[in-house]
Amino acid sequence: MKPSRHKIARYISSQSLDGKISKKQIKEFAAYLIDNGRTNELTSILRDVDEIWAEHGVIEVQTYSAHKLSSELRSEIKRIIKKYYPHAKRIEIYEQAEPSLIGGVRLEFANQQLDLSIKSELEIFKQAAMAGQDQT
Amino acid sequence: MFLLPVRFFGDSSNGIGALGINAGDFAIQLVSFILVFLVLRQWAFKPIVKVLRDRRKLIDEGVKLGLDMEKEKAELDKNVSDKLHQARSQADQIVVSAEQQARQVVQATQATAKAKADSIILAANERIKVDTAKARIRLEKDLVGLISEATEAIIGEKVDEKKDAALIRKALKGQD
Repeated sequence: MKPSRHKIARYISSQSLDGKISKKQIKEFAAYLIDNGRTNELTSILRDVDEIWAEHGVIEVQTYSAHKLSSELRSEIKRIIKKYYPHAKRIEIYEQAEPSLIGGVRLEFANQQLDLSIKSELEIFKQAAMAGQDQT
Repeated sequence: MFLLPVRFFGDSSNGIGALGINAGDFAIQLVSFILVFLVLRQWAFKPIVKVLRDRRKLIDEGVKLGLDMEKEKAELDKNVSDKLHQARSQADQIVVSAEQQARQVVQATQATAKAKADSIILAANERIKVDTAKARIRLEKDLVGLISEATEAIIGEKVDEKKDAALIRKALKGQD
């Protein structure tokens, strides 16, 4: 009987939270997914892992922005994340450049997304304009 | 032979003899005449009269037949004339009726054609309206897309690192 997605996520979380997970275990996990044809569940499993980490006070935040974030902004981001997770013990920020966002920032953390980018605002404006036309 | 009775009557100086007529001759001639008359009546007059009567009858019948034929011809001519008149009247009526029917058919066809043409025009108008509306919507969408792209390009050029940082700061503050 195959273990459920949540069970796998819990196992990985328990191993990784303690920092005991090794490269070998990661390879075994990858091999398991490939052998059992469950590679399409990888994203969901990692999202579950994020959630479990968040429950344990460890938040990993992936940021996307057109320009590099200053330390001040990183601190500001941590402050905002702290609002969502008041019991967070550790907040890790992983930065990634995405020029197509034009400006602003998009945050992804523990199965959530906070899009504060100009691209997103323009997209919302575009959708609203087109929806308005469709109604007329 | 005819002279014998004249001699038998004797003298011509008295009676009718005084008139220069010999009685004997007269009697003989009378008898001869009567005999001739009887013979002629018996064998000549009767057949002639019969022939004449038959001919007259035949002529009368012919005349009567002619009159009858003339009468019949007149009646026939009248009948023919009547029939012709009747036929002409009927023909006229048929022509009038045919003209009326043809006019009605033409009117009905014209009405049908007009209705169909109106329907086609109406459908075409509706189609044009719908197409126009669709085209307008498509154009407006394209326009919105273009505006959006233009805005992206303009903002992309305007937003430098410093401005971006201020923007992010402001956006994060908005989350408070």
